[in-house]
Amino acid sequence: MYKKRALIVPLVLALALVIGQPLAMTAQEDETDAEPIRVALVLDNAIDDQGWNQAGYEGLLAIEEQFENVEIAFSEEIPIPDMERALRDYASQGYDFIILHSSIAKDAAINTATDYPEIMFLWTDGDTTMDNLAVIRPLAHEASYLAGLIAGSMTETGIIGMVGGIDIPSTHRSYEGFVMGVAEVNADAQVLVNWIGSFLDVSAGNEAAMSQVEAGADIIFGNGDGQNIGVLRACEETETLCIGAVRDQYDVAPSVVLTSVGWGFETGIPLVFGDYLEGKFEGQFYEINLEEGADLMPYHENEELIPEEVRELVEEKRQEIIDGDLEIPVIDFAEEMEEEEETD
Amino acid sequence: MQAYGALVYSAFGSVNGFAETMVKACPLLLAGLGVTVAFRARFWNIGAEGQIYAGGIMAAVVGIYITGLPAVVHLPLTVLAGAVGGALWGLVPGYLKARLKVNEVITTLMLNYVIILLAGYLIHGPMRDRASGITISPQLLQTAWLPTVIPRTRFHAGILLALALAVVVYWLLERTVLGFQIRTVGENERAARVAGVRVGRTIILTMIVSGALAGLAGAAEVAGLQHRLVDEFSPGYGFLAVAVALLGNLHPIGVVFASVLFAALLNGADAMQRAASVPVPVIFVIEGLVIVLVSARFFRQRSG
Repeated sequence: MYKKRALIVPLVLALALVIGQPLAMTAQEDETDAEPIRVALVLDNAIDDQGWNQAGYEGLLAIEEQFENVEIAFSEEIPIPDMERALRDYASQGYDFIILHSSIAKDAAINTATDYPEIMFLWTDGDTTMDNLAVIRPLAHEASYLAGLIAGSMTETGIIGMVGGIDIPSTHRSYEGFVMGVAEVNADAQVLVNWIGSFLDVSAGNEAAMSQVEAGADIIFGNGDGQNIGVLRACEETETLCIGAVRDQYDVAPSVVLTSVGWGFETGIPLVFGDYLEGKFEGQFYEINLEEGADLMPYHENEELIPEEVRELVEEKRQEIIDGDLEIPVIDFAEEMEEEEETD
Repeated sequence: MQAYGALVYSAFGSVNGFAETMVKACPLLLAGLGVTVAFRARFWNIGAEGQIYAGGIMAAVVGIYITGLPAVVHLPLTVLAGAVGGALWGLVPGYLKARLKVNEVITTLMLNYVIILLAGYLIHGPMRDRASGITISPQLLQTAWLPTVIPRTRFHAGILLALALAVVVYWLLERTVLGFQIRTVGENERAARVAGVRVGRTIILTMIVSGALAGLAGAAEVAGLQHRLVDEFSPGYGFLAVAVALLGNLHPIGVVFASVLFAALLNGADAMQRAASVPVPVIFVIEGLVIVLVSARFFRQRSG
């Protein structure tokens, strides 16, 4: 037994050293009088990933900013197979409004919402709703179409790249919208397509973008999540113009990012929460359109790189979509897959 | 101290917390038992991760594609398929070591990547759920689900199976001829050979048992928890299982406690983050330290 104790002493000392530092800096939470509404967010990557997860986190912060007496909490870097645990953890602690920010963690949302009918759940980019489970569905294919107009007009080589994460319904819609935009202004342009099969693999995104640049692509659309950082960095390194996605990714590579296809989580999440506060929350699909934030993000310093007539065209088409004069068709990805299977 | 309080409370202070701790302990325990059996024979099996995936894939295939069976048949068949998958994946390095003297550290480690990538291929390819379009497999038929034991939690019957198997493994190692042979080979291979133990055969049997236990961990994750084949359904349980087995002093009952401890640490990470804003990486640092210190002690003891 003395050997066991000999192990425990250095262990505890080491832990004390590691933990002591951050603990000393943590602040005490102050108490408020009224019972606050408790909101939680569960994410699969870091809240400062400059992409998908940061967009979700910004949505949570917007809730805290816009509404009074709200207490927020979040769990980041939760692996997808483990998300149900994080959801149940919050639910069992009596959180009122729980947000799952992952398209893939399907059963996690459904199972937890089934076991906790009194709690409201919001699932971003999900595919199933329940009485207490709402879904945010960004209509990002519209902004992707606008991005396609820019890429199609500006390419000199006639080759445009698209590096996607995983080919799932939402990213697929974005891809289709982008290709449609390109084809409208430049029928001869060729779009190189790479789905890297991961939303987290930065280096795979980087490699795919590099190989597209080598193949002659002079504008690249990074369509997805964490891997986009790799795509945009590759573009920065090779001085290739590019378009980000999910949130305004200008900050990732300011020298080359022309614009980004926003998915509107920063605005969509507080929008649904507002409905909840007013008692209007329903287990439904909340479609986020151009005006509600799933829009083309600002050009920032790179505005001058885009010819004026292209910017005017984008503005014109954007207005047409908003007015309902132009419709970007949504392709049902699941149906398309079924068809592919049948023809195979 | 607030952070530690949160960690302990989240792990054991509520029904859900306790259930989740046990949910996480389940694969660590089963794979840890697998590693224990192998390490007792001085077979350095660091392929438990791959054996978990092999078990998970087999369980998913049986659970999804074999239809029309009642639960009393389908569920045991699914779980058994997991054990067989793990055993096969353990058998390969066992055979290579016993017959061709191939270093098991290399083979077990490399086979991990083969099967993890195979699982990824299946999920993104032939086994993809066409109905939702997401990269997960279809759901296992309900007849293949390990039942939930505590309502409104994820505490499933696989956990009870794991605890029972800890006792079985103890009995196997301490009370059976095979267990005696495993221990003898582990303590002194040459002496074992002189005493008439068929070393090669023992190594192969060891790896079948070891792989089957890890395979059961995969089956329990798939049939008890995810109910699908999911990308990275084991986020490194097989590697942590090595630390669990060493911390448990290669004793099945010790492994039970070690697995619960590690599960509490893993689950406590975000509780600590919430309660005291401790960044998640700090928890990973703690886990790393535990592994380094435990293995340092283990190997000093072995060489000293």
